[in-house]
Amino acid sequence: MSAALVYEWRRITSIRSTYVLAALFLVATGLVAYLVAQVTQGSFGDPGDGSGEMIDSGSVPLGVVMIAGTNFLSAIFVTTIAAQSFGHEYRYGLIRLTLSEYPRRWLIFTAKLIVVVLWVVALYLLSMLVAFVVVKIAGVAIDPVTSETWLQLLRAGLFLIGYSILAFMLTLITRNLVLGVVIPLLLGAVVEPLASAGLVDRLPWLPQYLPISAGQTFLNGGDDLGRGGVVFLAWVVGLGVIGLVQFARRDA
Amino acid sequence: MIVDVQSLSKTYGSVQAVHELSFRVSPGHITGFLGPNGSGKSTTMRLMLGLDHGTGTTLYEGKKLVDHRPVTKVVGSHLDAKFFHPKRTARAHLRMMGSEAGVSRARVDEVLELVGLQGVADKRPGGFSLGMGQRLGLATAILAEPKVLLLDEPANGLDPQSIQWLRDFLTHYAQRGNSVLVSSHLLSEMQLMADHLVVIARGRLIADESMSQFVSRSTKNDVLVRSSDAVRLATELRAQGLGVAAETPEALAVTGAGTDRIGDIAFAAGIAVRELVNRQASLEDAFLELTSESQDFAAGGDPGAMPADGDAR
Repeated sequence: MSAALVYEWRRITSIRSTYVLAALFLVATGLVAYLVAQVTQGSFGDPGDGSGEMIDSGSVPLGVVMIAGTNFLSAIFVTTIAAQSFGHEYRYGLIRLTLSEYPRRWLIFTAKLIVVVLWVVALYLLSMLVAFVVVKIAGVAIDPVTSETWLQLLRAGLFLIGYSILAFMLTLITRNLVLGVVIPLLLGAVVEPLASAGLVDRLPWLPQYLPISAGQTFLNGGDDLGRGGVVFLAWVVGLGVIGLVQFARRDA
Repeated sequence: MIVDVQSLSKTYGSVQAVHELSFRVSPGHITGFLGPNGSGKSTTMRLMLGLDHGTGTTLYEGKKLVDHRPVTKVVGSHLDAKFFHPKRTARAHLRMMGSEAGVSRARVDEVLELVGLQGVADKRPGGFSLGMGQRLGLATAILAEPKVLLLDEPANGLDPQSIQWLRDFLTHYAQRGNSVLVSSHLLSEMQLMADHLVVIARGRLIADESMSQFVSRSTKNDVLVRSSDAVRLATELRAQGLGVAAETPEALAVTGAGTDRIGDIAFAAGIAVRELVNRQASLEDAFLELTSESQDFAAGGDPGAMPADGDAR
């Protein structure tokens, strides 16, 4: 496994697009954090006294600002890095070199997944730092950090990881980098909102079982947090199983 | 290391691409892998590497490839000149491909120099010519010094000097006790390089023998005899059961005997022989004869029937 991890690490770190996409993600999250901080400043705030009452404190909730950039739109840069894991392999025929070097397919599949998750986690943590620094530089006052803030940040990180794995698996299943990136984006931005709006009378339960909607529910918290998380996880695991089985069975 | 290919088969829909194919690649030799377009050569190589799923097995020194560690010390393959990311430098590509065998930076540099890419080691290969892509592919294959090389059309796009270099390199590689299986459409080159041949057509084995045995099958192996009396000599030769065809009024093409026997027959008949030449068929002659019935994608027209400029009017 260590050799496969080294292989994948060298693969992902030896192309410029990885760094460009990472930088774009950090810039996007920083920018969104700044805009959200400016908009929300003075509009509401948590006094941090445990009452949960939102008051105009003149400061902004840190959690809201920091995870603002972790939506499915700005996350496209991170998911593209994830999609490139298999996308570049199929686009340039490298998969045949890779699999002739690692004929145990589950091995390279696992190595790729691990490295992608590590990158996503690292970028997420960096994006938090960027958002924090941006807010500080902008001179925006921040509410006290509460346990709910940490839970918000944790949920946002898990959402980003799950969303990236969706792109990773869709690329593997379709063997197409563009589809791997665009399908989740279209689902989140177009298909699911339209389906939810159009079918709200006939299938009111539908949105909660759609992947990105479920992920957003989990991300946003609230009463449906648990169900959203389970549904989102089921989509990620389900596509993961399909991806792995296809990868193992089909010709390179 | 002996490579034992056992009953490989592969079907795409209703098309049987490879059918019960068995052969052996032996160490110390270059084995040429020949077949017309679409005969299943590339599919066979992919099956041998486990890239495609089919039936049958390929054993490398008695074990499947997945049971070897590290794999790249066992077999190095080069299947296509464009299997690289266009933005990843040649050096980074080799560093990545060397990870499984723990190949050092020094070895990467050594291989880059060996294939003549040291000057472009840090360039992106997106702009490489086909020949440079072939060199990078070959560098990838030999990086971990594998005991077996599987090369699919490695000479495509190479200039004559590079082809000669490739031939010398593979000859020395095989002489060090390694096994080399190489496919090529450059039959004249293959004749100079390979000492054993595996020939397939429509996915089936049609020859697995030494180069000399294969070439000797051709009907173009004959003896040219120019004599003072070709008509009488032809009668004498036919009487001895030899095949005779007139090439010119004075010259005969004789099959079924060597120069010594033909000379003796002519001498016994009192016919003066003015020229006696042993003509050997080329690999191309033998290959074309053997596979003439097995081409899936043969050009249909007579190239000589092409209208000259202006004839089409």
